[in-house]
Amino acid sequence: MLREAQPLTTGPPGGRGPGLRQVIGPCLLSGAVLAAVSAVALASGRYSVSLDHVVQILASRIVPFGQGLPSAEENVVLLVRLPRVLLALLVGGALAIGGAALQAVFRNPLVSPEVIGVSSGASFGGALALLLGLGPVALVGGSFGFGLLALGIVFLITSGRGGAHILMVVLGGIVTASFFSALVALVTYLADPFTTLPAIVFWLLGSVSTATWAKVLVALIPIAAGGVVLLALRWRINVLSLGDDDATALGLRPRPLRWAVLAAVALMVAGAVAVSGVISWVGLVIPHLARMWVGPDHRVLLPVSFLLGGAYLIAIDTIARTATAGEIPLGVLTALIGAPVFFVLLRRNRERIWDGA
Amino acid sequence: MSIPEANRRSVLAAALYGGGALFLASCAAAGTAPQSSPQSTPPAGTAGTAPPGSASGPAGIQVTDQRGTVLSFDRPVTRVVTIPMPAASLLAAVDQGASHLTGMHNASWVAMRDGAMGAMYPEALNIPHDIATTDFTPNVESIRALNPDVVVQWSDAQLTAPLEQAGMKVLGITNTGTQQDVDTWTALFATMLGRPDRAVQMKARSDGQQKAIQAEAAARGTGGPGIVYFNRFSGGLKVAGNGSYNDFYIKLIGAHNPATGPQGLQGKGMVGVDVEQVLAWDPEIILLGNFDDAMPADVYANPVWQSVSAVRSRRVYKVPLGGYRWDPPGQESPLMWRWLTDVSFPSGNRSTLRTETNDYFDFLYRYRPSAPELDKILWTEANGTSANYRQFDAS
Amino acid sequence: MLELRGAGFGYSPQNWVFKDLSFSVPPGTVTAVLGPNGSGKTTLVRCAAGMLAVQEGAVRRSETAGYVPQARGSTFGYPALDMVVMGRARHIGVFRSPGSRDRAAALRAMDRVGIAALAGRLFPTLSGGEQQLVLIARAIAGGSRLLVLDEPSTGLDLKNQVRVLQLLRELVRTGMSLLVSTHHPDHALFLADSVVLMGAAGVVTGPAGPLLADAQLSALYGVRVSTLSYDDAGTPRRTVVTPFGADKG
Repeated sequence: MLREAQPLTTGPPGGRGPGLRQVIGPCLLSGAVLAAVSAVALASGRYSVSLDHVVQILASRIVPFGQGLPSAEENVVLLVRLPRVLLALLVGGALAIGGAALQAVFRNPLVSPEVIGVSSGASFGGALALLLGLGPVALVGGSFGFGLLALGIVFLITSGRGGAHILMVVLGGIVTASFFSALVALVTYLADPFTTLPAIVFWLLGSVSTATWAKVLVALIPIAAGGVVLLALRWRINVLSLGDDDATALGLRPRPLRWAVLAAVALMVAGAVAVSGVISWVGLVIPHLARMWVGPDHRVLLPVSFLLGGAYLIAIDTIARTATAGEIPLGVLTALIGAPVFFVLLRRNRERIWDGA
Repeated sequence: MSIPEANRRSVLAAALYGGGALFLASCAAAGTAPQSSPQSTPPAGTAGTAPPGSASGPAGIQVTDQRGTVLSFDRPVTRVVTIPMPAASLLAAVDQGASHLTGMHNASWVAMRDGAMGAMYPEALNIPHDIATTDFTPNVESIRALNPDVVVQWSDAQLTAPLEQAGMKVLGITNTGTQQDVDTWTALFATMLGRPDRAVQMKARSDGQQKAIQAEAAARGTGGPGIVYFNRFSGGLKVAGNGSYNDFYIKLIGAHNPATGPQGLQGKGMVGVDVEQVLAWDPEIILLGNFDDAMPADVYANPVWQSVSAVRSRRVYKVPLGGYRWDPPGQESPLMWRWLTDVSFPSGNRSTLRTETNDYFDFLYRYRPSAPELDKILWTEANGTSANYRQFDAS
Repeated sequence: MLELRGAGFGYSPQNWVFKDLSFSVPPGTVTAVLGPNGSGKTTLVRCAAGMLAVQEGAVRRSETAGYVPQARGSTFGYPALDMVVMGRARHIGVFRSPGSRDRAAALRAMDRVGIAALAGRLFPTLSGGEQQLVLIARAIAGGSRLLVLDEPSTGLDLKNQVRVLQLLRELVRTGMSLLVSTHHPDHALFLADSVVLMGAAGVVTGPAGPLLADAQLSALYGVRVSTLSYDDAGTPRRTVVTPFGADKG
């Protein structure tokens, strides 16, 4: 019952309660990392644009000058790279902050948007829209709707007395994810192998290579909406992470609060999947890395997760599109890199991870 | 007690005699059916070409498929089920008709319905086409029910074994994405159908065309435009890389493919690329394949592509779609080579493609497409805003 | 101040945990709830705190109760001060975070409980007793004068038991009302003014003195229990003992 327990993380050194400084500091640092990664990303690509030209082109959006630059270079920086970097930022950030919030709500550090079934649901929604040839609006709407539906199903499974136990969550998520994966398999079976199926496969592998300003806007709305809700609830999420019992004891109503958090996460994740397909491992690895650095207090953890998640995905995408002439699918790279990183994390922290489960 | 027993006995007896009679009758029917088929060979629309005498001779027909398996037929096949996508239209070309096509893959059927073949052989649209899954796994029972003489299938053991185990003859073919495939398959089909000289004819014609195109290229001497072929454009870019058939014919006509040049890709076949890479290659001509629905207008309207040479000179073209797609190797490939030559090296005069297409279709299918049908094949409307396309207009 | 009138709670019509139960906990007093495992102590205590709704009768509180659960460790390593600050949740708006006033109230509560030095320590690194004290401080930080505690001394070593019990007595002296469920009759002897005995035969409530006697306790636990008076360096004390069986060797 009561035992000498090891903490999940060592938390901030010295372990003082976070005042404003402890929130601002890591956020600024993460923001700086994000800015640096973005700068490198904007300056890199298969079409070479010199660094000073990149700077001029970007600056010319704010201050009109530098008219004499070749329009090809402008196109590349403003129409190819900039939307792509922004999209990777939004998607990576959304997945990371969503993962962090889900880990708190389900009190389980192994939870990520994929485990909960939202990604599978959203990927089915998109695949279905592609199969039926319904166009980009239906692609986004379908992913979104089915992502929310998946979450609803998981919650139904885990609601009720004793249902919120961690094992039930994982099982509920596996069941839901498997169900939607089976439906995706059905869709690929029905799809025309030469025209529709490759589109679906490409969608499932995850990519931001088709980024346009329109997609950035489309992603921005649900991600910003969900993000605002999560950040507004960030302290309440701390309380929620103690468990339903403690939360009720402290005067909160955990169920509506949890619903709010899950809906916000579903908004963000579905919005991310809708524009970029399924990109896994970001929502699992980044919150852990962030928690190892800033501790479990979600007032710091949530914004830092978002910033680091965005930086991570931008970095991976830049590698994906510059390493070779051919493009490596993003979802493949995040798994190839994320899985070993997670393995190392598990080994380093295994005593801590399993405590309190 | 006696009455129920008698009833039961009499029912059993009736069943036995009735079943026996049915059995004998069906044996007789099965016995006569094969005999009648050579006489009923001439399909609708053919002008009474007599089947070659050697086909129904006592020696029979022997074919060795691309796995090395030898198939023997007593007489030319008349009921063929095809599973690989290009096989159905190739069979129709070799046979100059679709009457011996008993079943085909759904994807072939869709291609027929959407392409010129639906117009040429409307009865082909009634042929059963639910006989295999999208990954070519055969539905053995529905194929068995069609009672085929032979099933054409990809050579993969997993795909052929179920059919052979069910007692059917399988002609295994392999896909290397080269002109060789078309020649080999044509020969196999022609022999099976009892018209081996048809294969000789088709190959001779195709070889002749190829030599003519090569001669033109050689005469031109200078390097041609950079052409990039897009297998997929709308949802992520995929271009033709090393070893692809598209790469082959780009080089055949005397042009070059930046995707396989010095700054090109490592990969073979169709490779996904980033748009920046295409901008770096700066192709002079862009070809949009028939595997997604991207059109030249989509490329022209896209601001990202404005600076590409092909867009600035309005040289983005949708590859034609005849009896089958002209992108991969097929019986209509010689027309593709002519089309691509004329698009890449416009002479300023009217192209001979229309007449050539009419003649070739007549040779292949015994069908001369009408002018509107030719416009549909050549994507005249979609390619209308691109440079040098008026040369393909009807006179 | 806490009052139950005719309260009843059951999981099904055949299965009532308690029925028609009335008692009150005036300010400055402690009521202990005793009973064997599975008797429903935790259910009663949660109903009293307002975390479960009674199905019959009424529960009246002068204010929201501060509930102190058993310390169970924590998945996430929050500092002790943050845990105590969470006790202020009722006073913090839905979209807000705790401010300096909340932190000050939390520190005051920790001071009162005597654990101010633990403010920066991570909760899971604390001993069981320290964790329990943090949870008590958390309930106090919420500002309530009514505390409901569920088995606060289970699993604690002797020293920590003493620590917790002495703290509770002090809190009572300042005028708080306490409802405590416990497995230890001698803790009730030390602390309680009234008791609620939840036995197989039904629930008995009343003043602690007469009810914490041999007969009642033995009937309650179904095993022979004796209350012993003893002399502790001049101070008469009473304790509860249960003979486990014949002594070894």
